[in-house]
Parts: sequence; C-alpha cells; structure tokens
Amino acid sequence: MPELPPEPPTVVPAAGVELAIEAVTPAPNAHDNDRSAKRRLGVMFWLSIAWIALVVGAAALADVLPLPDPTDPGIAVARSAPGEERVLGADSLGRDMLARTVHGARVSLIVGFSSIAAGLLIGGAIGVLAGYFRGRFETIVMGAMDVLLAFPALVLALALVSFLGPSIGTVTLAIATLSIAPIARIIRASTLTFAQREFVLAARTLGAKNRRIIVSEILPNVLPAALSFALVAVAVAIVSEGALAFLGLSVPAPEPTWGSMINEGRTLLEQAPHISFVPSGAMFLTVLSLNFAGDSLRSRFEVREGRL
Amino acid sequence: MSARFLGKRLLQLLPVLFAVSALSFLLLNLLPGDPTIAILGPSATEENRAVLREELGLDDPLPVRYVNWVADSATGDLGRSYVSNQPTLEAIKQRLPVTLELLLLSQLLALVIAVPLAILAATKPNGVLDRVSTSTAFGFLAIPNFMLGVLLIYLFAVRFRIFPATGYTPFSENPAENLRSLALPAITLGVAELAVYLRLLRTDLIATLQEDYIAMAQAKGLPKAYILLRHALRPSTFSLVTVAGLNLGRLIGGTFVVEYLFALPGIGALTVESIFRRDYIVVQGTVLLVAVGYVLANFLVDLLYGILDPRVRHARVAA
Amino acid sequence: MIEHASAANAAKQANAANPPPSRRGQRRRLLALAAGLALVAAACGGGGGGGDKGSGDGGATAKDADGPPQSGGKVIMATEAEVDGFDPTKNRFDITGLTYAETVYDPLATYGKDRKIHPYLAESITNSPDYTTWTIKVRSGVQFHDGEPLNADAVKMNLDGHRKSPLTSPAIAAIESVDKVDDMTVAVKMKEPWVAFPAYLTGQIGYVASPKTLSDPNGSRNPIGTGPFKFKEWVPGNHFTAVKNPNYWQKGLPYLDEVEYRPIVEVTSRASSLSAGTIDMMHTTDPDTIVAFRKDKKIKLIDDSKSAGEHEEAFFMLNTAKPPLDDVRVRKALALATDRQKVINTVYAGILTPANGPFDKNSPYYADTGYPEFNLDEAKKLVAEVEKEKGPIAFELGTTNSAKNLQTTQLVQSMWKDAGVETTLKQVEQSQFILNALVGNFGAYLWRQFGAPDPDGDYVWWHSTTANPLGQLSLNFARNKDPEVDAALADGRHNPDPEARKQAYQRVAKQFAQDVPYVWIGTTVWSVSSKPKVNGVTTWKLPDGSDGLDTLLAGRFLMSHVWVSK
Repeated sequence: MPELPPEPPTVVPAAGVELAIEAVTPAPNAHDNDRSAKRRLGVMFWLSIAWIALVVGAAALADVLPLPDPTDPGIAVARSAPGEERVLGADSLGRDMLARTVHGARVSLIVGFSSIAAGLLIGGAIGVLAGYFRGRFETIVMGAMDVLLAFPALVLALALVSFLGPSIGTVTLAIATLSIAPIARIIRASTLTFAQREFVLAARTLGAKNRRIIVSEILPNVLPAALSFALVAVAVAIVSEGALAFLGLSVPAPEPTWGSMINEGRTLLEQAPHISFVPSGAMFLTVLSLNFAGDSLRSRFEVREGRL
Repeated sequence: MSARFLGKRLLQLLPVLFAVSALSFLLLNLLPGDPTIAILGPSATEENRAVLREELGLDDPLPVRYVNWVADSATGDLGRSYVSNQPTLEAIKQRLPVTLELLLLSQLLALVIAVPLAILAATKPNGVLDRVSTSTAFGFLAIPNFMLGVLLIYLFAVRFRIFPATGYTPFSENPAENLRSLALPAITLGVAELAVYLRLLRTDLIATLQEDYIAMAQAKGLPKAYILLRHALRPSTFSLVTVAGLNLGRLIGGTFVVEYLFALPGIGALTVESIFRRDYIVVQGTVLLVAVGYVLANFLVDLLYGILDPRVRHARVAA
Repeated sequence: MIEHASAANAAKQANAANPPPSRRGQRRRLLALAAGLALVAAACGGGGGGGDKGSGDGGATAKDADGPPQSGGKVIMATEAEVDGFDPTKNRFDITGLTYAETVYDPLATYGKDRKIHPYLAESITNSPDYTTWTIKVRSGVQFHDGEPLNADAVKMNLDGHRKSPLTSPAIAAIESVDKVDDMTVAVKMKEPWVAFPAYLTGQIGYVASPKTLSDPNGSRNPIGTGPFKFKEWVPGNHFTAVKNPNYWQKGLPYLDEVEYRPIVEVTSRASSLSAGTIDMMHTTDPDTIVAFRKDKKIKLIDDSKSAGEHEEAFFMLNTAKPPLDDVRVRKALALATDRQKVINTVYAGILTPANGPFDKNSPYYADTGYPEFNLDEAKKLVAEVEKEKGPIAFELGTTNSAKNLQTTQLVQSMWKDAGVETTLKQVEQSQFILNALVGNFGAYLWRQFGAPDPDGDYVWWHSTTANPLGQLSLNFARNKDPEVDAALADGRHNPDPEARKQAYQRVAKQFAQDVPYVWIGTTVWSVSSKPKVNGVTTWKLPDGSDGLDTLLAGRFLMSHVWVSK
C-alpha cells in the first residue's frame, strides 16, 4: 500500500500543471549532488551551445560577411544543387542559398527570442501576480487567459497583419500574443506551489512587503523552470514562423525567412530538394540545440538521482 | 465531484463563450473585405455589391448583427454560409467527425509510443535510450508539419503504396479504408505531440522517482516494475494529461495544415477557408465550437486530476 | 458543350499553392464570369471563323486506346478547388465549376474544333438580320433528371434568373427582354445589335438548370439538369458523385457508370494522389507537374499548348490612373525591362509561350502588335528621362501568396530594379487582392485573364465606360481609357463581318502595345493527366457530327465522352 508523502502539498486544483511543476522544481534547501551535476553538462550541451553561437553570430554579422545579396536572382543558375555553383546551391530564382539561410537566421532568431521574451515578461507577470494574490483578481485574469487560449489564432494573426502590415514586428507580436496565455498558466502554477511554502510564510511574518516577497522569494524559485520552458517555447516559436509563412502571414518577400524558404521549396522536393532541406536542416539543428541546452540546464536542477 | 461543483464549472463556460465569440466577431468584421467579394469576385459592380450586401444583411450595425446571431445560436440556428448557403450546423456535422477522429488517432498514436518510451527512459536518465529518444523527439518537433506531410505522402503513398495519398472515407462506409486514409495525417499530427508527451512524462517520472516514498517502497522490497507502474506513473501524468486534453487551439491553424495537405474535409479547413472568404457566419459557428470544446476539455482534465491523484481530491474538498 | 472558358484559368497556380482559404480562385471566378461573357467568333450559322492560326493538333502527348469506347466503369478526378454550389445564377463557375457543371447540365451552345459556335442543347440559335433579336429553339424530347421536360419556360427561367443575378447580370446587361415564342422557343431581344451573344450561351449563362433547382433555396446543393450524369451526392471538400443518366438525349453517352470529383487544392498532393493511384485523373496548370508527368511513362498527359483558340495570359496589370504609372513612358519602360523568356524559363519551366498581347499565337486574332521587346538599355534610358523630370520612380508591386506568383513577382521586381525602378513587394491575401484591384488600390498587380473564347467577352475589362475613378469599383482595373480601343471594341461588338471583327480586335491589341496598361508574360497551359486506362479526353464529336473542341482548349473536355479501357 503506498504511503502518502510526508507533506501533502496544499495545492489548489485547476491545472495539473501545478502539480507537475511542483514535481519538477527542487525544494529550496535541496542538497547538490556534485558528481551527477557535473555529468549533466555533457558533450551534447556544449555542441548545442556551439551551434547556437554560430547561428547567432552569423545572423548578427550577416551584413558584414562576404555573402552575395540574398535577394539577387542573378547569382547562379536557378535550382542548381549544392556544390555545382554555390556551396549550398541556389534557390528557384537563382539566389544564393547560403546567403539566404544566414539572413533567414536573423528573422528566425529575432522572432523566436523576442516573441517569447515578450510573452515571458507579460505572461510571467500575470502568472506571478495571479498565483500570489489569488482571489478575484486571479479569477478574472485567468478567465481572460482562457479566452485567449480558446480564441482562433488565425483570426488574431490575420487581424494583426491586416492592420499593421506584414513584417518582422507583426510576426513577433502575433506569436508573442499567442504565447502569453500558456506562459501565464504555467508561471501561475509554479507560483502557487511556492507561495504556500514556509519560507514565504516566514518572510511575511517578519513583516516583509508583498513586492519584496515576490522579488526575493518567489521569483528566484520560479525563474529556473520558466527559463527552461522558455527555451522550448523559443523552438516552437521558430517553427511557428514557418506556419505563418505557409499561410502568407510572415515577413514578406523577397526577405528570406527559414519558414518561407521551406515553404517555397515544398513543391520542388523531387527536382531540387535542397531548396527546402537546407533551411529545414538549419531550423532542425537550431531547434535541437535549443532543446538540448534547455534540457541540460533543467536537469542540472534535478538534484537527486532516481532511486530506482 | 459534487453536482454543485460541476454546475459551477459549466457556468464558468458562458463568459468565456461570450467573450470569444464577441471578440472574434468584432475582429473579423474589422478586417478589410467582406463576403460579397468572395461571392461576386472581380466582376463586382457597385450596384450589385450593394444589392448583395443588403440581401445578406451586412449593412446592419455590428451590435445588432451580433445580438441576432447570439439569439439564433441559442435556439440552435447557426445560420447559413453567405457564400454557399449551406446551413452552418450541417457543415459542422459533416466535418467535425473527420477532425475529431484525426485528433483522437494522433493523440492515441503519440501516447502509445510516448508512455512506454518515457517509462523506460526515466529508469535510466541520460542513458542511451533516454538520449536517443530525446534527440528523435526534438527532431520531430523541429520539422514543420507542412514539410512532414509532403514527405510522408511521398514515402508511404507514392513510393511504397501503403496508404492513400489524400482523401477521407467515413468509418461507417468502410472502416479499413477509413483508418488507412487517416494514418498518414495522424502520424503527421502525432509526432510533434509525441515529442512533447515524451519529454513531459519522462521529466515528471524522473522527479517523482526521487521522492522519498519511492525509496521507501523499494526498501520494502517491492519489485521495480510494480513500483514504477503502480506508484510512480499515476502522479506523474498530470502535465501529460493537461497538455493532451488541451490540444485544441494550438498555435496557428491547428489541424488546418494537415487537412489541407491530405484533402480532409475537416473543421480546421472549414475555419480557415471561411476566414479568408470573410464568411462571418460560418466562422462564428466554428469559433463557438472550438471554444466549447476547449472549455469542456479543460473541465475533463480537472476531472481526471481528481481520479489520478487523491491529494487533489482531498485538497479540493478541503478548499 | 465545352466552353472556351479559358477565363477560368485565372490564378490557378496562385490558388493551388495557397492554402486555405478562399485562395481558391477569386480570380478564377472572375475569369469564370468572363467565360460566361464568352462571345462567339463567328455568327451562328455564318461562315468564316477567323484565320487558321494554329495547327489544330492538340498538345496531346498521349493517344487513346485502340478500339471503340467501352461502356462502364468509374473515374475519380481531382480538381484544383471546391465550388460553392451548382446554381448557375448564384454560384460562380470557374474552370472547376464548369467541369462539375457539365456532368449534370448541358449548355445551350458549344464551340467546335472549327472555332465556330454550334447549338448543343439548343436545336438552333438564329439571329434577326440586325442582330437585335436572337431566337433559341431547344431540342424536343429532352428531360431533366426529375422527368420534367426541357422547354421554353425552363430556358426563359434560366435567362431571366441571370438577368436578375448580382453575379451574372453585368455580362448580359444588354438584354432587353426574354420572351416565349412557343413551347420550345424563346426570343431574346437586345438593347443594341449584339453579334457575339451566342458565345455567352457556351458559358455559365448557357447552362440550363431545371426550374426546380433555380427555385429551391437548397437547389444550389442539389443540381437537376439534362446532363449525361445524374447528381448523386455532394460532401463539400470531400467528393461530388454523379451516376449515368440512362435517359440522356445523346444516345450511347455517357460511357462511364459513375464519376467522382475530389477537390485537392494543394498541387503536390494532387499529383501525388495520381502517382499513388488514389485518383484516376487530375487537371492543373502547374508547370513543374506538367514537366514531370510528361516524362513519367506511367502517366498519360494531355495539354492545350498547341490548341487553336483563346488562352489565358499572365501579365502585370498597371494602374494607369495613379502616379507614377499614369505616365506612359514609365509603363513602356517596365515592358522594356521585362525579360519574358527568362521569367518563363525560370519560373514556368519554359512551357509558356511569351505573350505580346491578349491574343496568343494560336488565336485567330493574333498579330504582331509592336509590343516593346526586352531591351534593358532602352528601359534605363526611358527611366532616366522620366526621373530627371519627376524624381525617383517607386510604387507597390503586389501578388497573392502562391509560390509561383511570388517567384514571378520577385524575379520581375529585380528586373525592374535593374532598369532603375524601385518597387516594394506586397503579398496580399486573395480577398483583399481582388478588392484592391476593383477599387484601384494598387500599383502593379500580377494577374491572369483574357481567355474569353470570343474577345467581345473581354469588353467589360477594356472599355473606358467601365473605368471608374480610384476608390470606386471598376471592372476596367487598369483604368485605361483609350478612345481607339473603345471604337475597336464597338466594331467588334456590332459588326457581323468576321474579317472586320478580326481587324477590330487586332487594333485593340496594337493599342495595348502603345498604351501598355499590361506588361505581358505568357499564355497559360492547361493539362489533364491520368492513368493510361483513361481515354476520350482529347477528341469527340458534337451532336451535329462535327468535331468537338480542340484538345483540352483552356482546360475543357467532356466527361460524357470519357471511357476507361479494361
């Protein structure tokens, strides 16, 4: 017969995410197992970091690197394969694939990171406040999140593009807006588990103001889980730009984005597969690296070995 | 679960439905264009467009139109498409089973693979199986579904004629064909889910396995498998259940891309097509449907928590 | 009963790759309407259909099986879009719509291989000497699928329905009245002499739906006609099925027992479906697919690249009412800067023919128009000249979201940039695209049009009376007002002499080469690909014994003549 754990947590029912978060986040006074911690950040982690650094660097220096104009169709014979004329081949109009991939990285990274950063800022604030203050405020705010989650995403994206015109900013805004609700839910769940812990109670008894409690007790505990979740979210955001490109709502041509490049090559998979596979590969490696890095970081906080 | 609790939760449904339907109605009508362009096309003249607008009632003020729609919907009348004149309810009835079956199959597929894999991976964190399944899972996450679909069609329909490339056969007509026609779409949709479930469950399991009561059970001499499945699994499934249950309204389009590539007549395709044609009535219908579905799923998930973990039940009662 | 509804060829490619949504062919619809406006080249019963341009051998690369057609069997065809309904007075029939329609309906008239109009469901279509009255007599003994007889009342109901319809009325605004003469005959009176009226009867306006279909609010989803197949079932987005009409008025037809249409918008999915054997035949204008299937030994491909008649053109439409494109020198410079052949080779796998006007080489109205040929230096000079006076030239270049359209536009954008003209590229959603064109909210838009079987069908797009100021809906999108063009169009409309009409429309094309409201790219190629066992797509005989339409002209063929070999 299983015994209940020593401390039944006073979790508030709603999303099972709360319990999951509780399961994953370490107790603030857990001890570190140095041996296993060191093993966590292994080769895969450093490889991932290296790739991310490469992509970020190339994207940042895109204008300075000795690459041809990514929008110039005269560079090579259209659809030529990698190695024939250009290192990564040419796309359907004869533009250099390497230049386009590097410039496309810029859009993907900016959209991916800034949309989630914004989502984290706003969704995180909402989640922490809702989880800490509870009551009416929480009900109304989380109700609003419910509305956002149930709202048809395409209508929102389309509205933004219609009113603001398609651009990097619009795409970022669209993805950011759609990420706020899920992030808010998760952060709130995390906050809930910590807001009931003894150290918070202790701090309050000592007379600390709410703001101080949030900043110095809650946030430091919520942040690690939030950040590693955020890295996965960035990966999803990067792939979502592709979905938007598929619908014609991403950054307009001739500016390259990985999503629109993959979309463009989709109909030529037999004749010239590299047109889709090169940006696909770049996106694949980037997403993989982000997830590995995030995963490794998260497992760094999983302090004890499984007992089994 | 008391009846009062149930009733209270269902009541919470209403404000969300109102808010979602009102907001989407507003936004849709603010977009440039209207259904007359979809109907008349480029040969529209000012007079004809005006005539049509009047016929369709598009000149009435927005609040009036919204209230009329709410009143009609309450009696079950979801109106008729501006463009095809098909009753919205009929369109939804035709298309909902397709999307539902697609979602069901893809979730099933994802779970059937993810759960055993996660259990095995959790027993040896960072072992070979763990690393390989991790990479593969993330790999699938990184392939946009519009690419994956095309690849699957090429491989399994054209090259090796195992499945049909496109199309849908209703289950009632031919069960075997039905499953065959949904196999590739379900795989396309399912592999991304698989990745998420795998990671979630594995992570939760590892954490649960670190709890003291697991050590206690092991100290008592209970067999490993028994501990895993009987004590560790259930409490670890919460995030899995949450995400699985809440897989409506995913980021962009949801099932639309898969339905488009595989020519499946589903709700996703209907919604997107209607949005682009400004077929307000149909969009309102599908938005309502999705909102209801979302809240119901939410609700079901909560119910499941109570079943999966007695702590939640107790806590709820205490609260 | 095929329409030279090449009008329907619009933005196919645009819509094909454009998911969702209505991408579906707003422009096709437009063209569909133009198809409905189809005009006849030669007066009914008259002689002399235009010159003999084009060899008349279709672009067919596949032969039918030997032996007489066999009865029986079923064919599944994939179309490039779904239709909204089957009421010809309410739902637009683009190429897909017409393909569906001719299973359950028959048109009053149709084109033959001789490019003349032949009565089809009608027994005769005759004109008064001054062309202000056309008399239509329908065949006797023909029944609708519900057993009701085809008669003058039915025809009148159809025509009156079109006159009242917001959809089809602009095309036939010149009709004054439709009167019943006797049980099987109606007389259509015009407000002005209208030589080409019968051409409209080969299109959407000529398809005769049963009075029940027209009066039933659900009629558009339950079509009843006189056609070779009886409607069985329609699940929108999934399939449309029709079964053999045992009482069809053309004895021996159709050959097939059943036909099923499946809309598969995504062209790669459609092609894969054929390769995988999931479907039996499909149509498309996508050049990559055409090239691939031409090489594929397991697929039978037929196209209309060599068929004589009107094809649709792809071109950039310029807004002549808005600076800087109101200056004809700028427009001419753009034409000089556009290397059509390069665009065709790069984006369209070389299969399109470069166009120099709205009539391609296979059309009887084709002539050397004097359209500015590619000359980058000339272009640069003109641009410099204008910029010296007015400053830098810049405007918006727009297209819908389909892959091919995007590629064409980007390529041409860089060509124009080479000449010194900077443009911003706008990707516009289908619905908004059409609206923008109508109200003049554009600079240059990539467009497809002008496949009307008779050029009179393009009257509304070209005449100055339909060019309204910016901000108002205007069917003459380019808003080009040229009295020479007006005069030539009037000639073509009123003058019954085929030679005079030919001259008139050649004048129109030459004026376009002067005014440059359109920067031409090339003519669309339609194809039908199928499993080798499918036959009967290329040639057939009309009821009066003459040859049917030239191979797949503008994508049209008759399902009633299709048969499968065992």
